[in-house]
Amino acid sequence: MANEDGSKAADAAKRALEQIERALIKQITALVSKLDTERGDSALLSDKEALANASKIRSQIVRAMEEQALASIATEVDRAALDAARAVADSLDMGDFNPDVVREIEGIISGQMAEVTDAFSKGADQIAEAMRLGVTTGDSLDNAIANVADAVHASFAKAQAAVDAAIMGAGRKVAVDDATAAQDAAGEPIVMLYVGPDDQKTRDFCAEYVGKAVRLDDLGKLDNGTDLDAETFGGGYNCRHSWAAMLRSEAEAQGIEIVEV
Amino acid sequence: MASSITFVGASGKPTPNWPKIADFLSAIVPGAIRQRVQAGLDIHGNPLADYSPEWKAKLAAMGEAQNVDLRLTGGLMGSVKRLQKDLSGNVLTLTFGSGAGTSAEVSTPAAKASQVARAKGESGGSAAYKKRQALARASARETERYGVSRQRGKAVRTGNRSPQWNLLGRYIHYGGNGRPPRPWLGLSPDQRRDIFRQLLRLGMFKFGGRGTSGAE
Repeated sequence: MANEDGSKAADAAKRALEQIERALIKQITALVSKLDTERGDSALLSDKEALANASKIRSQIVRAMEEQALASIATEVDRAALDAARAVADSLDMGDFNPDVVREIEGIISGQMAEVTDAFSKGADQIAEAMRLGVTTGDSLDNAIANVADAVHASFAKAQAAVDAAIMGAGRKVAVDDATAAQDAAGEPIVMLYVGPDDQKTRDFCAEYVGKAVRLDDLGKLDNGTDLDAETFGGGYNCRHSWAAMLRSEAEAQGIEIVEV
Repeated sequence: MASSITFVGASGKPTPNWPKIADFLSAIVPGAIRQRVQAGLDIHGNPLADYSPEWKAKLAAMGEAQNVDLRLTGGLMGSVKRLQKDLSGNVLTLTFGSGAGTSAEVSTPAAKASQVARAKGESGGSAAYKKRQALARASARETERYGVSRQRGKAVRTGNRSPQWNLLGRYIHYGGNGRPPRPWLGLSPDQRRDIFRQLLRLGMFKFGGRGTSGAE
């Protein structure tokens, strides 16, 4: 009986994977066929990466299927996907994409990223708690990264980015919590100075705020354009910036701009 | 790696304001440290020792600024917080430091070099691209030593990892192995004066008192 149940579950999983994979391949193939080969628009570089990521996600799904001994199906979809991937690779050398296509691609990816975000959120809570206690170790982080990667069949790099963001998020969370207590103790408003680099890798969101201060009560209103809140995660994954608490009166005395959000 | 600030109540007994002072400094001191380091100044108010030409070249290849701000992932600076609060008699001691957290693998130049190459639109055959790739390969070897390797998309523990931030912070603070010290954790004399002035202005020293601070 147990074997029968297991067999049914495997069949159901197989069908679900087939559907996901075929839908994904169909969409990628359709999108690739609509690629705009016009040159000259360098503003879409990040979108090229998004398309490349879609291809990576496809390969992750194939790998998951292989691991469940669905080799024949995996081979079939891989062949179709390879054609799509080849077209993607060719197009990367040819030029940029039509923005409409890019938006559709992002739609595909966002569904996958939701899984990562979910797994990440669960892990982040544990990491945040460990950080508060100051007991996080390299070993526990190795485990966290591996767990996130395993849970969503995400790449190691993606899982690590999520875990790193969680650790950084915990640090920012402590800074904000401490600033809230400091504001109560001082009886004067506290502002948070956004501290960190301003170089060619800096995101637009971070570049806008770095070197400036935000009222403590306004942090929750910041929008970095990602699923991760700016108060805790700054500009998002791999953000190098942090919050520095200071009295508003001191910031004004130093001539630091206080941004109204 | 830790830095402490000690207050001694002048009245010979704990001031009722100790909890408020502790809460206030728990946020303000880490903020002041981050702000000062970002400005490239050490705890004496002097410029932090410059990065080596090799490291600057690596930062440039990664598309990162080369000013000394002790940031690569931002983890060290982001983890600075109050670690301990001790009230013994009329003496309040607050200890600040970096967290024990660490990345299993430092943010690698490998991935960053590739990102920069793509962003710059460099072709696979260009000298700049090859240079970045060479840096990436060297970095990958370092990562393998200290981090976690990858096999079929899954993490494989190597038993090695990058130093924890508190250790990293100590190395940076005191230098060693030919690296210059960059004393960063603590407050400069100017910052100490500033913060004590703030405490006085806020009326937190109603009962008088004095304060000292120092690293380890």
